[in-house]
Amino acid sequence: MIKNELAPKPAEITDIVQETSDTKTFTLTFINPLDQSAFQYRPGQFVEISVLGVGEAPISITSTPSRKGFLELSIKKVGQLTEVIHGLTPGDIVGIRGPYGNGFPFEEVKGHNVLFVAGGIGLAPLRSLINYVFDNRKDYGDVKILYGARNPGELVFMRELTRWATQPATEVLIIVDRGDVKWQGNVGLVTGLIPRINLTPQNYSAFVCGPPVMIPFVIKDLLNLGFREDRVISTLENYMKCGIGKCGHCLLGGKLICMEGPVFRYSEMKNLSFG
Amino acid sequence: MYYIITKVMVKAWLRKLIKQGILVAPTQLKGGDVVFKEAFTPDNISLEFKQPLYSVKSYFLPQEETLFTFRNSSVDTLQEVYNEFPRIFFGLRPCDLKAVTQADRFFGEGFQDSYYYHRRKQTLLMVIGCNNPESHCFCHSMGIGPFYKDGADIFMVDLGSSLAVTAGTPNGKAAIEDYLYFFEKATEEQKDEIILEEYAALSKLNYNMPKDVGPPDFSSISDEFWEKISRKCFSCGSCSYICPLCFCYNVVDRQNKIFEGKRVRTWDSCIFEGFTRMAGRHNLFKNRQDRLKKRFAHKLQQYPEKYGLIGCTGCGRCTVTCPGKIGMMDVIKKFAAEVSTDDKK
Repeated sequence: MIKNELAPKPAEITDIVQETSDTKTFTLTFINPLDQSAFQYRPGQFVEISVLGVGEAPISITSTPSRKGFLELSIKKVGQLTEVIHGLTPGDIVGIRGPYGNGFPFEEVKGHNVLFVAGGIGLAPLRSLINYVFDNRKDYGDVKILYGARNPGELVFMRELTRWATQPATEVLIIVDRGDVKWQGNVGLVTGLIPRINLTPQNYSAFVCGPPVMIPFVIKDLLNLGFREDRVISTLENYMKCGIGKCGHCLLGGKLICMEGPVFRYSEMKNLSFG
Repeated sequence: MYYIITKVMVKAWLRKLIKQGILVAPTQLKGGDVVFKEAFTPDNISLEFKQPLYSVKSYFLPQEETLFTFRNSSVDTLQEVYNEFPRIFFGLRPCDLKAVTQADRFFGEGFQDSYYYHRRKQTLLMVIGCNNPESHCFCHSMGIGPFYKDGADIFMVDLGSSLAVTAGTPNGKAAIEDYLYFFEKATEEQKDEIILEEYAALSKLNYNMPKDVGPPDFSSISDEFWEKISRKCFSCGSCSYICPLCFCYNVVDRQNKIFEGKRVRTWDSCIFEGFTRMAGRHNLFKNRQDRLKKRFAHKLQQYPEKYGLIGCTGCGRCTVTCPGKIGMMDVIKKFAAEVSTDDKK
């Protein structure tokens, strides 16, 4: 008997944190403890979340596998389904299936210094890896986090960014495209932060995640600094339906993003039809 | 080993086999079209063996299929829906057969598709060789050929008043040997006749598409060529719907007023603009030319890289259905013509 990958498993919303005006972080626990223990994931993977009767969407996991027993998803209100999800309250049940995708190569970068560059909600998948790195601090070198958003109101995980900044051998820089009256920090694009960090690219691995307009510019700057192409790791997005490599929607340059991605090294990415 | 059954007896044989499952066979509709249809008796099926209008794709990946049902949007009430009727496919063409065996590979790799598996596991594939290929057929240049039989449970050849029949699997063997009283062994002359029929069919196919015009090397096709082709595309998606090797699907939830809901999957086509449109209207394949190019890249370049075969069986159905006359065969021919005029320059 073949397992039916397309049937979601029930999971309860146990907590909701309002990150910004249109982004919430949902904490989920599977109703069936067996589903929970079977759910083993890597940072950078995603799940398919369902509200039956409305639809299903792929959402990246923002919690880290080093903290077990729950699952966190940061969801921005952008469409029909996410709007319904934003209306849910703790105690509501949603359907989850996954994890899918390849995830970040976190074992491989052990011993390296790591640079994270995130834009907007792109911090969500990176947060999984960042927390993983901090939970296994001795395996990794220096950590630098560059984070940009459109305006101060759109910065997500501010509490955690502050906590990360206090960790040893860690630098966190935040920038916004447009400040407001209260904003005292940096103003500009996230690429503007890159020249301000001190690093020797040879022993660094970079993880880049953000909106499609941001990624090519950041990658270009990193390569100019001298980062190795296979050590610049980013994520690609395309419309996805099934998450299991069958429905064909996410096909890009011959690769199914849901199976062979969404995480790609720049050396692989440049061979795809765009990027 | 070939057995011979007279055409008169074929329906009697099918009447025996039908006890094991629903018969799906080419049936002539009132307007004259021949399509694969479920039949409770073999009385009305066509033994003329024209290429049916559609392949058997819809019996394995239905145009719309319910994955599961639920009530009140509750995940607890989720009920998976499986359609597990055994089916006997009679009169499949070699191109249809190739599509089924390729679907087996596709749905069986990685995360296996349980819905496909349930449909496929109880089927008997009875394939008929094409003595008389249609004018849009070009399976020979896609590496299949009119008498291709790898993976068929039973392979049959039309010899005029009788069929030559051979088994390819234990299931097919049982379907013949359990009813051996319908058959006699093929004589040497009849075996020769089979070879002659194949030869005749191949020469007809060579007339449709000369042997040296093979599938083009995709990377050598210029963007200007795609631009020219895409001007004729209506974005109607009929090429993907009719293609036996197009398996892309969309998933939608439907719910009625009393909150009985179901999640269905339906056919989808990469030619549609909405195929890759994401929330916030991001779309990586916004213009028609890119989508058309992607479709052909998948079939001509990525299929060979991944599976070692072209993503086309040469059934020619897209050539028939395409209103802009840019089916696979037309594109291959247009490209070949372009290359030869370039050479002359």
